[in-house]
Amino acid sequence: MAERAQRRLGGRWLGAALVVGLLALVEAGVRAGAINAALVPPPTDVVRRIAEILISGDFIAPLAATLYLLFIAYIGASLLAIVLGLVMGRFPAIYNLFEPLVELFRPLPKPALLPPLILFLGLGDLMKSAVVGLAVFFPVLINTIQGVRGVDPVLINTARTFGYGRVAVLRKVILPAALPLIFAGLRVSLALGLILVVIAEMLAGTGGLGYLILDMQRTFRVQNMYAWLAILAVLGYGLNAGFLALEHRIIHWAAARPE
Amino acid sequence: MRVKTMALAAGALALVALAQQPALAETTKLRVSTIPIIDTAPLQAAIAKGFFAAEGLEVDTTPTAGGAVGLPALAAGQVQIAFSNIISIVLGAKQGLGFEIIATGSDTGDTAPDLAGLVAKKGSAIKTGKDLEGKTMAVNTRNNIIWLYGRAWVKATGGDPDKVTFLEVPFPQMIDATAGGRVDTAFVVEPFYSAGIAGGSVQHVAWPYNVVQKNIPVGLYAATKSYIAANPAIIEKFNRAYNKGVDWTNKNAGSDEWVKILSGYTRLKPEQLKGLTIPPFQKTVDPARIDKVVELMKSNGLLEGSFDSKALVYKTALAK
Repeated sequence: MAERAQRRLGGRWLGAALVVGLLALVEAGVRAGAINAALVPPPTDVVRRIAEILISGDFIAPLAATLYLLFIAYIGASLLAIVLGLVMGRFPAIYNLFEPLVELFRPLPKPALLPPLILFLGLGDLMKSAVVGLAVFFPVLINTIQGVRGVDPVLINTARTFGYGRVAVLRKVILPAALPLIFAGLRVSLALGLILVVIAEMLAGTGGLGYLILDMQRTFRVQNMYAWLAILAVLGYGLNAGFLALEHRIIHWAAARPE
Repeated sequence: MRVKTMALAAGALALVALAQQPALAETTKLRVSTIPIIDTAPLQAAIAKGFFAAEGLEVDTTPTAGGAVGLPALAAGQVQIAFSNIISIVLGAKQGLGFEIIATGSDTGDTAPDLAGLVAKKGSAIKTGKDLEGKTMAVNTRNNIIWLYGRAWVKATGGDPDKVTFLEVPFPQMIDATAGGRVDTAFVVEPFYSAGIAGGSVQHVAWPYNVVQKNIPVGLYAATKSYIAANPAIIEKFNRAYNKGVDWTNKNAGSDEWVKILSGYTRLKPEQLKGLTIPPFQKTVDPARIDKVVELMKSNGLLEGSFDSKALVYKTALAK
Protein backbone atom coordinates (compact mmCIF):
# COMPACT_ATOMS: atom_id res chain seq x y z
CA MET A 1 0.00 0.00 0.00
CA ALA A 2 2.82 2.37 0.96
CA GLU A 3 4.78 1.31 -2.10
CA ARG A 4 1.81 2.05 -4.35
CA ALA A 5 1.40 5.49 -2.79
CA GLN A 6 5.07 6.26 -3.31
CA ARG A 7 4.88 5.29 -6.97
CA ARG A 8 1.80 7.51 -7.46
CA LEU A 9 3.52 10.44 -5.73
CA GLY A 10 6.64 10.03 -7.85
CA GLY A 11 4.50 10.21 -10.98
CA ARG A 12 2.75 13.42 -9.98
CA TRP A 13 5.97 15.27 -9.17
CA LEU A 14 7.36 14.32 -12.55
CA GLY A 15 4.42 15.93 -14.32
CA ALA A 16 4.67 19.11 -12.27
CA ALA A 17 8.41 19.26 -12.98
CA LEU A 18 7.68 19.06 -16.73
CA VAL A 19 5.29 22.01 -16.57
CA VAL A 20 7.80 24.10 -14.61
CA GLY A 21 10.55 23.07 -17.03
CA LEU A 22 8.53 24.16 -20.07
CA LEU A 23 7.70 27.50 -18.45
CA ALA A 24 11.38 28.04 -17.67
CA LEU A 25 12.20 27.29 -21.30
CA VAL A 26 9.67 29.89 -22.50
CA GLU A 27 11.02 32.41 -19.98
CA ALA A 28 14.56 31.91 -21.23
CA GLY A 29 13.44 32.11 -24.84
CA VAL A 30 11.62 35.40 -24.37
CA ARG A 31 14.39 37.00 -22.30
CA ALA A 32 16.95 35.97 -24.92
CA GLY A 33 14.81 37.53 -27.64
CA ALA A 34 14.18 34.30 -29.53
CA ILE A 35 10.44 34.54 -28.86
CA ASN A 36 8.60 37.80 -29.54
CA ALA A 37 7.79 39.25 -26.11
CA ALA A 38 4.85 41.19 -27.55
CA LEU A 39 3.15 37.92 -28.51
CA VAL A 40 4.39 35.64 -25.72
CA PRO A 41 5.26 37.56 -22.56
CA PRO A 42 7.71 36.08 -20.03
CA PRO A 43 5.80 33.73 -17.71
CA THR A 44 7.12 35.59 -14.65
CA ASP A 45 5.41 38.78 -15.91
CA VAL A 46 2.18 36.90 -16.38
CA VAL A 47 2.41 35.43 -12.87
CA ARG A 48 2.97 38.94 -11.51
CA ARG A 49 -0.11 40.18 -13.39
CA ILE A 50 -2.18 37.28 -12.06
CA ALA A 51 -1.11 38.20 -8.52
CA GLU A 52 -2.08 41.84 -9.19
CA ILE A 53 -5.52 40.81 -10.43
CA LEU A 54 -6.10 38.50 -7.47
CA ILE A 55 -4.90 40.93 -4.83
CA SER A 56 -6.85 43.88 -6.20
CA GLY A 57 -10.01 41.82 -6.34
CA ASP A 58 -10.56 42.68 -10.01
CA PHE A 59 -11.30 39.03 -10.70
CA ILE A 60 -14.48 38.92 -8.64
CA ALA A 61 -16.86 40.74 -10.99
CA PRO A 62 -15.96 38.89 -14.22
CA LEU A 63 -15.80 35.55 -12.38
CA ALA A 64 -19.22 36.18 -10.87
CA ALA A 65 -20.65 37.11 -14.27
CA THR A 66 -19.34 33.94 -15.92
CA LEU A 67 -20.36 31.67 -13.05
CA TYR A 68 -23.84 33.23 -12.83
CA LEU A 69 -24.52 32.49 -16.50
CA LEU A 70 -23.04 29.01 -16.23
CA PHE A 71 -24.92 27.93 -13.12
CA ILE A 72 -28.33 29.24 -14.13
CA ALA A 73 -28.18 27.39 -17.43
CA TYR A 74 -26.43 24.33 -15.96
CA ILE A 75 -28.86 23.74 -13.11
CA GLY A 76 -31.93 24.43 -15.23
CA ALA A 77 -30.89 22.24 -18.14
CA SER A 78 -29.61 19.42 -15.88
CA LEU A 79 -32.85 19.22 -13.93
CA LEU A 80 -34.84 19.14 -17.15
CA ALA A 81 -32.55 16.48 -18.61
CA ILE A 82 -32.73 14.28 -15.50
CA VAL A 83 -36.53 14.42 -15.38
CA LEU A 84 -36.89 13.71 -19.09
CA GLY A 85 -34.20 11.02 -18.90
CA LEU A 86 -35.98 9.28 -16.05
CA VAL A 87 -39.26 9.00 -17.92
CA MET A 88 -37.61 8.23 -21.25
CA GLY A 89 -35.52 5.48 -19.69
CA ARG A 90 -38.43 3.98 -17.79
CA PHE A 91 -41.26 4.16 -20.32
CA PRO A 92 -40.50 2.87 -23.84
CA ALA A 93 -43.43 4.76 -25.38
CA ILE A 94 -42.03 8.12 -24.22
CA TYR A 95 -38.58 7.09 -25.34
CA ASN A 96 -39.80 6.29 -28.84
CA LEU A 97 -41.62 9.60 -28.93
CA PHE A 98 -38.59 11.77 -28.19
CA GLU A 99 -35.71 9.71 -29.51
CA PRO A 100 -35.70 11.00 -33.13
CA LEU A 101 -35.78 14.60 -31.89
CA VAL A 102 -32.94 13.97 -29.47
CA GLU A 103 -30.84 12.23 -32.11
CA LEU A 104 -31.39 15.18 -34.44
CA PHE A 105 -29.96 17.76 -32.06
CA ARG A 106 -27.51 15.77 -29.98
CA PRO A 107 -24.77 15.30 -32.62
CA LEU A 108 -24.80 19.01 -33.53
CA PRO A 109 -21.74 20.81 -32.14
CA LYS A 110 -23.48 23.34 -29.94
CA PRO A 111 -21.29 26.36 -30.90
CA ALA A 112 -22.79 25.96 -34.39
CA LEU A 113 -26.16 26.84 -32.87
CA LEU A 114 -24.96 30.30 -31.86
CA PRO A 115 -25.83 32.07 -35.15
CA PRO A 116 -29.48 30.90 -35.28
CA LEU A 117 -29.87 31.50 -31.53
CA ILE A 118 -28.55 35.04 -31.96
CA LEU A 119 -31.16 35.59 -34.65
CA PHE A 120 -33.99 34.31 -32.46
CA LEU A 121 -32.96 35.45 -29.02
CA GLY A 122 -30.73 38.45 -29.69
CA LEU A 123 -27.39 39.12 -28.05
CA GLY A 124 -28.42 39.13 -24.41
CA ASP A 125 -28.28 36.79 -21.44
CA LEU A 126 -31.23 34.72 -22.66
CA MET A 127 -29.35 33.65 -25.77
CA LYS A 128 -26.22 32.80 -23.77
CA SER A 129 -28.21 30.77 -21.23
CA ALA A 130 -29.97 28.97 -24.07
CA VAL A 131 -26.80 27.89 -25.82
CA VAL A 132 -25.16 26.76 -22.55
CA GLY A 133 -28.36 24.95 -21.57
CA LEU A 134 -28.47 23.13 -24.89
CA ALA A 135 -24.89 21.99 -24.50
CA VAL A 136 -25.50 20.78 -20.94
CA PHE A 137 -28.82 19.08 -21.69
CA PHE A 138 -27.84 16.22 -23.98
CA PRO A 139 -24.99 14.45 -22.13
CA VAL A 140 -27.04 14.48 -18.93
CA LEU A 141 -30.11 13.19 -20.78
CA ILE A 142 -28.28 10.34 -22.51
CA ASN A 143 -26.50 9.30 -19.32
CA THR A 144 -29.73 9.42 -17.31
CA ILE A 145 -31.47 7.17 -19.83
CA GLN A 146 -28.57 4.71 -19.72
CA GLY A 147 -28.47 4.89 -15.95
CA VAL A 148 -32.18 4.12 -15.68
CA ARG A 149 -31.94 1.23 -18.10
CA GLY A 150 -28.99 -0.21 -16.25
CA VAL A 151 -30.78 -0.48 -12.92
CA ASP A 152 -30.77 -4.02 -11.58
CA PRO A 153 -34.29 -5.46 -12.13
CA VAL A 154 -34.01 -7.23 -8.77
CA LEU A 155 -34.06 -3.85 -7.04
CA ILE A 156 -37.21 -2.82 -8.88
CA ASN A 157 -38.98 -6.13 -8.24
CA THR A 158 -38.10 -5.98 -4.56
CA ALA A 159 -39.62 -2.53 -4.34
CA ARG A 160 -42.71 -3.70 -6.15
CA THR A 161 -43.02 -6.56 -3.68
CA PHE A 162 -43.12 -3.98 -0.92
CA GLY A 163 -46.04 -2.29 -2.65
CA TYR A 164 -44.29 0.76 -4.12
CA GLY A 165 -46.24 2.52 -6.84
CA ARG A 166 -44.76 3.63 -10.18
CA VAL A 167 -43.71 7.09 -9.05
CA ALA A 168 -42.28 5.82 -5.77
CA VAL A 169 -40.20 3.24 -7.62
CA LEU A 170 -38.84 5.98 -9.88
CA ARG A 171 -38.05 8.33 -7.08
CA LYS A 172 -36.74 5.97 -4.40
CA VAL A 173 -35.14 3.11 -6.32
CA ILE A 174 -34.37 4.01 -9.92
CA LEU A 175 -33.11 7.54 -9.40
CA PRO A 176 -30.58 6.65 -6.68
CA ALA A 177 -29.43 3.56 -8.60
CA ALA A 178 -28.90 5.61 -11.74
CA LEU A 179 -27.05 8.40 -9.93
CA PRO A 180 -23.49 7.24 -10.70
CA LEU A 181 -24.13 7.44 -14.45
CA ILE A 182 -26.12 10.66 -14.07
CA PHE A 183 -23.18 12.22 -12.23
CA ALA A 184 -20.85 11.12 -15.00
CA GLY A 185 -23.08 12.97 -17.45
CA LEU A 186 -23.24 16.00 -15.17
CA ARG A 187 -19.45 16.17 -14.99
CA VAL A 188 -19.08 16.09 -18.79
CA SER A 189 -21.80 18.72 -19.09
CA LEU A 190 -20.05 21.01 -16.62
CA ALA A 191 -16.96 21.07 -18.81
CA LEU A 192 -19.06 21.60 -21.96
CA GLY A 193 -21.07 24.33 -20.26
CA LEU A 194 -17.93 26.23 -19.31
CA ILE A 195 -16.66 26.02 -22.90
CA LEU A 196 -19.93 27.34 -24.30
CA VAL A 197 -20.21 30.14 -21.76
CA VAL A 198 -16.74 31.39 -22.68
CA ILE A 199 -17.52 31.22 -26.42
CA ALA A 200 -20.87 32.97 -25.93
CA GLU A 201 -19.20 35.71 -23.91
CA MET A 202 -16.60 36.22 -26.63
CA LEU A 203 -19.27 36.46 -29.29
CA ALA A 204 -21.87 38.57 -27.52
CA GLY A 205 -20.68 39.29 -24.04
CA THR A 206 -20.80 42.32 -21.80
CA GLY A 207 -18.61 40.99 -18.99
CA GLY A 208 -17.15 37.77 -17.71
CA LEU A 209 -13.92 35.91 -18.37
CA GLY A 210 -14.44 35.11 -22.07
CA TYR A 211 -15.32 38.73 -22.82
CA LEU A 212 -12.22 39.95 -20.96
CA ILE A 213 -9.84 37.56 -22.70
CA LEU A 214 -11.06 38.78 -26.10
CA ASP A 215 -10.98 42.40 -24.95
CA MET A 216 -7.37 42.08 -23.84
CA GLN A 217 -6.47 40.61 -27.22
CA ARG A 218 -8.26 43.46 -28.98
CA THR A 219 -6.20 46.02 -27.07
CA PHE A 220 -3.00 43.97 -27.40
CA ARG A 221 -2.65 43.75 -23.62
CA VAL A 222 -1.09 40.33 -24.00
CA GLN A 223 0.07 39.90 -20.41
CA ASN A 224 -3.45 40.54 -19.13
CA MET A 225 -4.85 38.15 -21.72
CA TYR A 226 -2.64 35.29 -20.54
CA ALA A 227 -3.32 36.17 -16.91
CA TRP A 228 -7.07 35.92 -17.41
CA LEU A 229 -6.58 32.72 -19.40
CA ALA A 230 -4.71 31.24 -16.45
CA ILE A 231 -7.51 32.32 -14.10
CA LEU A 232 -10.00 30.63 -16.42
CA ALA A 233 -7.90 27.46 -16.36
CA VAL A 234 -7.90 27.50 -12.55
CA LEU A 235 -11.67 28.00 -12.62
CA GLY A 236 -12.12 24.96 -14.84
CA TYR A 237 -9.91 22.88 -12.60
CA GLY A 238 -11.63 24.16 -9.47
CA LEU A 239 -15.11 23.45 -10.82
CA ASN A 240 -14.13 19.90 -11.70
CA ALA A 241 -12.46 19.28 -8.33
CA GLY A 242 -15.44 20.74 -6.50
CA PHE A 243 -17.80 18.59 -8.51
CA LEU A 244 -15.81 15.43 -7.74
CA ALA A 245 -15.88 16.23 -4.03
CA LEU A 246 -19.65 16.72 -4.20
CA GLU A 247 -20.05 13.49 -6.13
CA HIS A 248 -18.12 11.49 -3.54
CA ARG A 249 -20.32 12.80 -0.76
CA ILE A 250 -23.64 12.19 -2.51
CA ILE A 251 -23.01 8.77 -3.98
CA HIS A 252 -20.62 7.47 -1.37
CA TRP A 253 -21.78 3.93 -1.95
CA ALA A 254 -20.55 3.97 -5.57
CA ALA A 255 -17.01 4.81 -4.44
CA ALA A 256 -17.02 1.72 -2.20
CA ARG A 257 -17.57 -0.48 -5.26
CA PRO A 258 -14.30 -1.80 -6.73
CA GLU A 259 -13.53 0.11 -9.95
CA MET B 1 19.15 0.64 -59.12
CA ARG B 2 17.43 2.53 -56.31
CA VAL B 3 20.25 5.09 -56.08
CA LYS B 4 19.98 5.72 -59.83
CA THR B 5 16.21 6.29 -59.61
CA MET B 6 16.64 8.66 -56.70
CA ALA B 7 19.35 10.61 -58.53
CA LEU B 8 17.10 10.92 -61.58
CA ALA B 9 14.20 12.09 -59.42
CA ALA B 10 16.41 14.64 -57.65
CA GLY B 11 17.65 15.92 -60.97
CA ALA B 12 14.11 16.28 -62.30
CA LEU B 13 13.02 18.15 -59.17
CA ALA B 14 16.00 20.50 -59.44
CA LEU B 15 15.13 21.25 -63.06
CA VAL B 16 11.51 21.99 -62.13
CA ALA B 17 12.65 24.24 -59.28
CA LEU B 18 15.02 26.13 -61.55
CA ALA B 19 12.28 26.54 -64.12
CA GLN B 20 10.06 28.13 -61.48
CA GLN B 21 12.62 30.69 -60.33
CA PRO B 22 12.35 33.30 -63.12
CA ALA B 23 8.54 33.30 -62.80
CA LEU B 24 8.75 33.92 -59.01
CA ALA B 25 11.16 36.83 -59.44
CA GLU B 26 8.71 38.80 -61.60
CA THR B 27 5.70 39.31 -59.31
CA THR B 28 5.66 39.58 -55.53
CA LYS B 29 2.64 38.21 -53.72
CA LEU B 30 1.36 40.49 -50.99
CA ARG B 31 -1.33 39.50 -48.50
CA VAL B 32 -3.32 42.46 -47.28
CA SER B 33 -6.00 42.22 -44.63
CA THR B 34 -8.92 44.53 -45.37
CA ILE B 35 -12.38 45.46 -44.18
CA PRO B 36 -15.22 45.47 -46.75
CA ILE B 37 -16.09 49.15 -46.19
CA ILE B 38 -15.76 52.40 -48.11
CA ASP B 39 -12.36 53.16 -46.57
CA THR B 40 -10.62 50.50 -48.64
CA ALA B 41 -12.15 51.66 -51.94
CA PRO B 42 -8.83 53.11 -53.23
CA LEU B 43 -7.09 49.79 -52.58
CA GLN B 44 -9.82 47.84 -54.36
CA ALA B 45 -9.77 50.36 -57.22
CA ALA B 46 -5.99 50.00 -57.54
CA ILE B 47 -6.38 46.21 -57.74
CA ALA B 48 -9.25 46.40 -60.23
CA LYS B 49 -7.49 48.94 -62.48
CA GLY B 50 -4.24 46.92 -62.49
CA PHE B 51 -2.07 49.55 -60.77
CA PHE B 52 -0.52 46.92 -58.49
CA ALA B 53 0.10 44.52 -61.34
CA ALA B 54 1.92 47.30 -63.20
CA GLU B 55 4.32 47.54 -60.23
CA GLY B 56 4.86 43.78 -60.19
CA LEU B 57 2.69 43.18 -57.13
CA GLU B 58 -0.02 40.60 -56.79
CA VAL B 59 -2.30 41.73 -53.96
CA ASP B 60 -4.33 39.05 -52.20
CA THR B 61 -6.97 40.54 -49.88
CA THR B 62 -8.34 38.90 -46.75
CA PRO B 63 -11.52 40.56 -45.43
CA THR B 64 -11.90 40.81 -41.65
CA ALA B 65 -14.40 42.32 -39.24
CA GLY B 66 -11.98 45.08 -38.26
CA GLY B 67 -8.42 46.19 -37.62
CA ALA B 68 -8.51 44.59 -34.19
CA VAL B 69 -8.85 41.27 -36.01
CA GLY B 70 -6.46 41.97 -38.89
CA LEU B 71 -3.57 43.32 -36.81
CA PRO B 72 -2.95 40.09 -34.87
CA ALA B 73 -2.60 38.42 -38.27
CA LEU B 74 -0.06 41.11 -39.18
CA ALA B 75 1.85 40.53 -35.96
CA ALA B 76 1.90 36.80 -36.63
CA GLY B 77 3.19 37.33 -40.17
CA GLN B 78 0.14 35.86 -41.88
CA VAL B 79 -0.42 39.10 -43.77
CA GLN B 80 2.23 41.62 -44.80
CA ILE B 81 0.02 44.72 -44.75
CA ALA B 82 -3.13 45.34 -42.74
CA PHE B 83 -5.81 47.98 -43.10
CA SER B 84 -6.84 49.02 -39.65
CA ASN B 85 -8.36 51.85 -37.66
CA ILE B 86 -5.84 54.16 -36.04
CA ILE B 87 -6.75 53.12 -32.49
CA SER B 88 -5.80 49.48 -32.96
CA ILE B 89 -2.55 50.45 -34.69
CA VAL B 90 -1.60 52.79 -31.83
CA LEU B 91 -2.49 50.15 -29.24
CA GLY B 92 -0.42 47.51 -30.99
CA ALA B 93 2.54 49.85 -31.46
CA LYS B 94 2.35 50.87 -27.79
CA GLN B 95 2.56 47.21 -26.74
CA GLY B 96 5.70 46.77 -28.81
CA LEU B 97 4.28 44.91 -31.82
CA GLY B 98 6.31 47.08 -34.21
CA PHE B 99 3.49 48.46 -36.38
CA GLU B 100 4.24 51.36 -38.72
CA ILE B 101 1.85 53.24 -40.99
CA ILE B 102 2.84 52.98 -44.65
CA ALA B 103 -0.18 54.42 -46.44
CA THR B 104 -3.16 56.57 -45.61
CA GLY B 105 -6.67 55.25 -45.89
CA SER B 106 -9.64 57.34 -44.88
CA ASP B 107 -10.16 60.72 -43.29
CA THR B 108 -13.40 62.07 -41.90
CA GLY B 109 -13.06 65.51 -43.43
CA ASP B 110 -14.33 68.59 -41.64
CA THR B 111 -18.08 68.63 -42.32
CA ALA B 112 -20.96 66.23 -42.05
CA PRO B 113 -21.98 63.95 -43.68
CA ASP B 114 -18.82 61.96 -43.18
CA LEU B 115 -17.80 58.31 -43.32
CA ALA B 116 -19.95 56.82 -40.61
CA GLY B 117 -23.29 57.57 -39.03
CA LEU B 118 -25.22 56.45 -35.98
CA VAL B 119 -28.50 54.80 -36.88
CA ALA B 120 -31.47 53.51 -34.89
CA LYS B 121 -34.58 51.56 -35.79
CA LYS B 122 -37.18 53.57 -37.66
CA GLY B 123 -39.41 55.31 -35.16
CA SER B 124 -36.90 55.15 -32.33
CA ALA B 125 -36.84 58.04 -29.86
CA ILE B 126 -33.08 57.99 -29.34
CA LYS B 127 -31.54 61.38 -30.19
CA THR B 128 -28.68 61.93 -27.73
CA GLY B 129 -26.15 60.02 -25.68
CA LYS B 130 -28.35 60.48 -22.63
CA ASP B 131 -31.12 58.52 -24.39
CA LEU B 132 -28.65 55.68 -24.94
CA GLU B 133 -27.99 55.07 -21.25
CA GLY B 134 -29.03 51.53 -20.41
CA LYS B 135 -29.29 50.69 -24.11
CA THR B 136 -26.97 49.12 -26.68
CA MET B 137 -24.78 50.37 -29.54
CA ALA B 138 -23.37 48.06 -32.17
CA VAL B 139 -19.68 48.50 -33.04
CA ASN B 140 -17.67 46.29 -35.37
CA THR B 141 -15.16 45.49 -32.65
CA ARG B 142 -14.61 46.95 -29.22
CA ASN B 143 -11.55 49.04 -28.30
CA ASN B 144 -11.26 50.51 -31.79
CA ILE B 145 -12.10 53.85 -33.38
CA ILE B 146 -15.81 53.17 -33.77
CA TRP B 147 -16.05 52.18 -30.11
CA LEU B 148 -13.95 55.12 -28.91
CA TYR B 149 -15.78 57.81 -30.88
CA GLY B 150 -19.11 56.17 -30.07
CA ARG B 151 -18.27 56.63 -26.39
CA ALA B 152 -16.98 60.15 -27.00
CA TRP B 153 -20.24 61.06 -28.76
CA VAL B 154 -22.32 59.67 -25.87
CA LYS B 155 -20.28 61.81 -23.48
CA ALA B 156 -20.42 64.89 -25.74
CA THR B 157 -24.22 64.66 -25.95
CA GLY B 158 -24.83 64.40 -22.22
CA GLY B 159 -24.64 60.68 -21.53
CA ASP B 160 -22.40 58.38 -19.49
CA PRO B 161 -20.54 55.99 -21.83
CA ASP B 162 -20.14 53.43 -19.04
CA LYS B 163 -23.93 53.08 -18.88
CA VAL B 164 -24.11 52.10 -22.57
CA THR B 165 -23.51 48.49 -23.63
CA PHE B 166 -21.33 48.10 -26.71
CA LEU B 167 -21.96 44.88 -28.64
CA GLU B 168 -19.78 43.55 -31.43
CA VAL B 169 -21.58 43.17 -34.76
CA PRO B 170 -19.72 43.07 -38.12
CA PHE B 171 -20.49 46.09 -40.34
CA PRO B 172 -22.41 44.14 -43.02
CA GLN B 173 -24.84 42.86 -40.34
CA MET B 174 -25.37 46.09 -38.41
CA ILE B 175 -28.43 47.35 -40.31
CA ASP B 176 -30.23 44.03 -39.92
CA ALA B 177 -29.34 43.87 -36.24
CA THR B 178 -30.76 47.36 -35.67
CA ALA B 179 -33.89 46.85 -37.72
CA GLY B 180 -34.45 43.52 -36.00
CA GLY B 181 -34.17 45.03 -32.53
CA ARG B 182 -31.10 43.05 -31.51
CA VAL B 183 -29.30 46.35 -30.84
CA ASP B 184 -30.81 49.79 -30.18
CA THR B 185 -28.32 51.75 -32.30
CA ALA B 186 -25.44 51.02 -34.61
CA PHE B 187 -22.42 53.14 -35.52
CA VAL B 188 -22.09 52.03 -39.13
CA VAL B 189 -19.68 53.11 -41.86
CA GLU B 190 -20.29 53.64 -45.53
CA PRO B 191 -21.41 52.09 -47.75
CA PHE B 192 -23.59 50.17 -45.32
CA TYR B 193 -24.89 53.39 -43.77
CA SER B 194 -26.32 54.74 -47.02
CA ALA B 195 -27.63 51.32 -48.01
CA GLY B 196 -29.43 51.06 -44.69
CA ILE B 197 -30.93 54.54 -44.82
CA ALA B 198 -32.05 53.97 -48.41
CA GLY B 199 -33.61 50.67 -47.38
CA GLY B 200 -35.91 52.51 -44.99
CA SER B 201 -35.63 50.21 -41.98
CA VAL B 202 -33.37 52.50 -39.97
CA GLN B 203 -33.17 56.23 -39.38
CA HIS B 204 -30.25 58.63 -38.93
CA VAL B 205 -29.41 59.72 -35.39
CA ALA B 206 -26.07 61.56 -35.58
CA TRP B 207 -22.63 61.90 -37.15
CA PRO B 208 -20.52 60.96 -34.10
CA TYR B 209 -17.11 61.56 -35.71
CA ASN B 210 -17.93 65.10 -36.69
CA VAL B 211 -19.42 66.00 -33.33
CA VAL B 212 -16.26 64.97 -31.50
CA GLN B 213 -13.33 65.87 -33.77
CA LYS B 214 -12.67 67.12 -37.29
CA ASN B 215 -10.30 65.48 -39.76
CA ILE B 216 -9.77 62.22 -37.97
CA PRO B 217 -7.35 59.86 -39.74
CA VAL B 218 -9.69 56.92 -39.35
CA GLY B 219 -8.17 54.00 -41.22
CA LEU B 220 -4.64 53.46 -42.39
CA TYR B 221 -2.43 50.73 -43.81
CA ALA B 222 0.20 49.29 -41.49
CA ALA B 223 3.11 46.90 -41.80
CA THR B 224 5.66 45.67 -39.28
CA LYS B 225 8.99 47.47 -38.83
CA SER B 226 10.89 44.26 -39.59
CA TYR B 227 9.04 43.73 -42.88
CA ILE B 228 9.59 47.34 -43.94
CA ALA B 229 13.31 47.13 -43.12
CA ALA B 230 13.64 43.94 -45.15
CA ASN B 231 11.50 45.04 -48.11
CA PRO B 232 11.65 48.85 -48.59
CA ALA B 233 11.29 48.53 -52.37
CA ILE B 234 8.05 46.57 -52.08
CA ILE B 235 6.63 49.19 -49.69
CA GLU B 236 7.52 51.95 -52.17
CA LYS B 237 5.86 50.01 -55.01
CA PHE B 238 2.75 49.38 -52.89
CA ASN B 239 2.57 53.06 -52.06
CA ARG B 240 2.93 54.21 -55.67
CA ALA B 241 0.23 51.86 -56.92
CA TYR B 242 -2.05 52.62 -53.97
CA ASN B 243 -1.75 56.40 -54.41
CA LYS B 244 -2.73 55.96 -58.06
CA GLY B 245 -5.82 54.22 -56.69
CA VAL B 246 -6.49 57.20 -54.40
CA ASP B 247 -6.25 59.63 -57.33
CA TRP B 248 -8.54 57.48 -59.45
CA THR B 249 -11.11 57.17 -56.63
CA ASN B 250 -11.15 60.90 -55.91
CA LYS B 251 -11.68 61.60 -59.59
CA ASN B 252 -14.22 58.86 -60.36
CA ALA B 253 -16.29 58.58 -57.19
CA GLY B 254 -19.92 58.15 -58.14
CA SER B 255 -19.22 56.82 -61.62
CA ASP B 256 -20.67 53.50 -62.77
CA GLU B 257 -17.27 51.83 -62.83
CA TRP B 258 -16.66 52.93 -59.24
CA VAL B 259 -20.07 51.61 -58.14
CA LYS B 260 -19.25 48.29 -59.81
CA ILE B 261 -15.96 47.97 -57.92
CA LEU B 262 -17.63 48.93 -54.65
CA SER B 263 -20.48 46.51 -55.18
CA GLY B 264 -17.99 43.74 -55.90
CA TYR B 265 -16.18 43.81 -52.60
CA THR B 266 -19.00 44.94 -50.28
CA ARG B 267 -21.56 42.60 -51.84
CA LEU B 268 -24.14 45.37 -51.88
CA LYS B 269 -26.36 45.95 -54.91
CA PRO B 270 -25.35 48.83 -57.23
CA GLU B 271 -28.71 50.54 -56.64
CA GLN B 272 -27.92 50.81 -52.92
CA LEU B 273 -24.60 52.51 -53.69
CA LYS B 274 -25.72 55.26 -56.03
CA GLY B 275 -25.60 58.71 -54.51
CA LEU B 276 -22.95 57.82 -51.94
CA THR B 277 -20.97 60.91 -50.89
CA ILE B 278 -17.67 60.59 -49.07
CA PRO B 279 -14.86 62.96 -48.06
CA PRO B 280 -11.90 62.84 -50.48
CA PHE B 281 -9.21 60.25 -49.74
CA GLN B 282 -5.78 61.50 -48.64
CA LYS B 283 -2.28 60.32 -49.54
CA THR B 284 -0.48 61.45 -46.42
CA VAL B 285 -1.25 61.64 -42.72
CA ASP B 286 -0.34 64.41 -40.28
CA PRO B 287 1.09 63.04 -37.01
CA ALA B 288 -0.45 66.01 -35.17
CA ARG B 289 -3.89 64.61 -35.98
CA ILE B 290 -2.84 61.24 -34.60
CA ASP B 291 -1.78 63.07 -31.41
CA LYS B 292 -5.36 64.33 -31.02
CA VAL B 293 -6.67 60.77 -31.31
CA VAL B 294 -4.12 59.61 -28.71
CA GLU B 295 -5.39 62.33 -26.34
CA LEU B 296 -8.91 60.95 -26.66
CA MET B 297 -7.63 57.44 -26.05
CA LYS B 298 -5.90 58.58 -22.87
CA SER B 299 -9.01 60.29 -21.55
CA ASN B 300 -10.97 57.09 -22.13
CA GLY B 301 -8.48 54.93 -20.30
CA LEU B 302 -7.32 53.16 -23.44
CA LEU B 303 -3.73 54.38 -23.26
CA GLU B 304 -1.34 55.37 -20.50
CA GLY B 305 1.93 57.21 -20.72
CA SER B 306 3.57 58.86 -23.69
CA PHE B 307 3.22 57.97 -27.36
CA ASP B 308 5.32 59.18 -30.29
CA SER B 309 2.95 59.66 -33.23
CA LYS B 310 5.74 60.79 -35.55
CA ALA B 311 7.62 57.50 -35.06
CA LEU B 312 4.46 55.61 -35.98
CA VAL B 313 4.40 56.89 -39.55
CA TYR B 314 6.82 55.60 -42.20
CA LYS B 315 8.15 58.05 -44.72
CA THR B 316 5.83 56.83 -47.49
CA ALA B 317 2.82 58.15 -45.58
CA LEU B 318 4.32 61.47 -44.50
CA ALA B 319 3.99 64.71 -46.44
CA LYS B 320 7.20 65.44 -48.33
